[in-house]
Amino acid sequence: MKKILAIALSVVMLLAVSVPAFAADITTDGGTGTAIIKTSTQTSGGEEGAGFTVSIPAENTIYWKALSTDLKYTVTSQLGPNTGVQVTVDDTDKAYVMTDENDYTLAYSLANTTGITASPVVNGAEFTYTVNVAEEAWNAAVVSEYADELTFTAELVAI
Amino acid sequence: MKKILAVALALVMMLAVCVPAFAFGEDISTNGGQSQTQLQTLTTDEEGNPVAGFTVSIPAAVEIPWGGTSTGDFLNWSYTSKLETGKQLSISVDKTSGNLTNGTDNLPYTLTGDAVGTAFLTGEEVTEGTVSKQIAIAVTGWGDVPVDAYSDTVTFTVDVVDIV
Amino acid sequence: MKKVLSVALALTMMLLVCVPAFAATITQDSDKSANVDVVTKTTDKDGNPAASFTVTIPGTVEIPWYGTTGGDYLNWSYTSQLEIGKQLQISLDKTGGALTNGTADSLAYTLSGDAVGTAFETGEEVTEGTVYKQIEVAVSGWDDAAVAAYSDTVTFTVAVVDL
Repeated sequence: MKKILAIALSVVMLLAVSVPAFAADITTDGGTGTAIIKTSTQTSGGEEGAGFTVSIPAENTIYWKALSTDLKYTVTSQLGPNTGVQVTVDDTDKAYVMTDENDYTLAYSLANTTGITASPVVNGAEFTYTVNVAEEAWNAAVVSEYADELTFTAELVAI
Repeated sequence: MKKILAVALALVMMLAVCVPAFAFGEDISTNGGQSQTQLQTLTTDEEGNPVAGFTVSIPAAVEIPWGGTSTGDFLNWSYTSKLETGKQLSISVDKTSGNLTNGTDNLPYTLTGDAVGTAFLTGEEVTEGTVSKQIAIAVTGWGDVPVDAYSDTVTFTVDVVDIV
Repeated sequence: MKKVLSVALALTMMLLVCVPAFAATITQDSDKSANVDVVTKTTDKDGNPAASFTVTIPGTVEIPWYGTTGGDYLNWSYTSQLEIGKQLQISLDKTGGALTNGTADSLAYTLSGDAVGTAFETGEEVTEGTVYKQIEVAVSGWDDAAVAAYSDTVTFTVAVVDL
């Protein structure tokens, strides 16, 4: 089960250039008229067509004595031109300490904490971040299940 | 004698064929006399403006929601005509398909309906009110391009041609 | 002698023939007044009948497409100077019909006014100048017909009848 983090997209509404679209009448023999076919960036339901999803697994397991563990998340997006998704991973409380139910601690660090999609349109693009636990920290730790909360932050960036 | 009779007969037959040409509007001044008036319509109205004409109305723009409309997207157009005897409208569109573009990426589309591919002939001089028509627009590749405003232009051409 | 008598007789007879016939004669011996009738003829000095009339009709009545706001009319007129007890009787050959253009299309029309349906009788021998008349022409079906020149002919017939 994937914990899907749906980030609400804050949309900068383009000022809709409210030019009234008048029909063109052709009334002369040999006359011509043009109609412009154009897409809206909103769906027929009135929702914005642009959007993205960052999918983070519910379980991110670090095995005992693993010095470096790569964990993954994926990004699917369909955004406006030259726009990508930047995802930043960080410890919620920035203590970089995992704790168990008895408040025993295990220090760690994070690497590869920022991922940026390469294109406005990506489908399940996979990103990796790394949780590093030093050998000394493992050796000093009581055998238990340690956990910490990470915060994933997604924002639209120019690419 | 025969020749004379023949000529006389020919003359009589010619006179019989010659339909007397009525001169309209001659004064009547004899008992039992007759004269003719011709009632005739003009092809201009009382201000002198030509009556024959037509209007083909097309939208300035057709906006398609992102992903398209579930029931289809259409370019709605219409026409009325009041033409001279033996004339009809011929309406055509300059393409059957194309690409909506934002200057960088493209969304291909196809058109189907009257006036697409083959000119549409109205088949009559005078329409009963306004005749409404539809051209279906099918856009593909929605998921492959950045979300943006993509557009293309379709040109209608209208000619007055003979009804064949 | 016979020849002389013959000539004299012939001359006498010729002179008798040449003597104008007078309605009355006044001489030194007769009454000094006499009555003579002066009578007009119904012909002029060239022998042409004096009684006459003219009914004037237009050659063409042009109707703009959709008609004229105030109505479309066939304007006609007449003058008459007829013999005692006579009048003009004017009639049209139709009360309406279809204007056509040589195809299957047509425009229906109706006529209304004097001389339409029932013959119009002038009611007098002599008109005071020219009498002007109007027949209204009402055309329908403009919106359904292709644009063209549609036409039809109306025939006037005039007869001199008794008052």
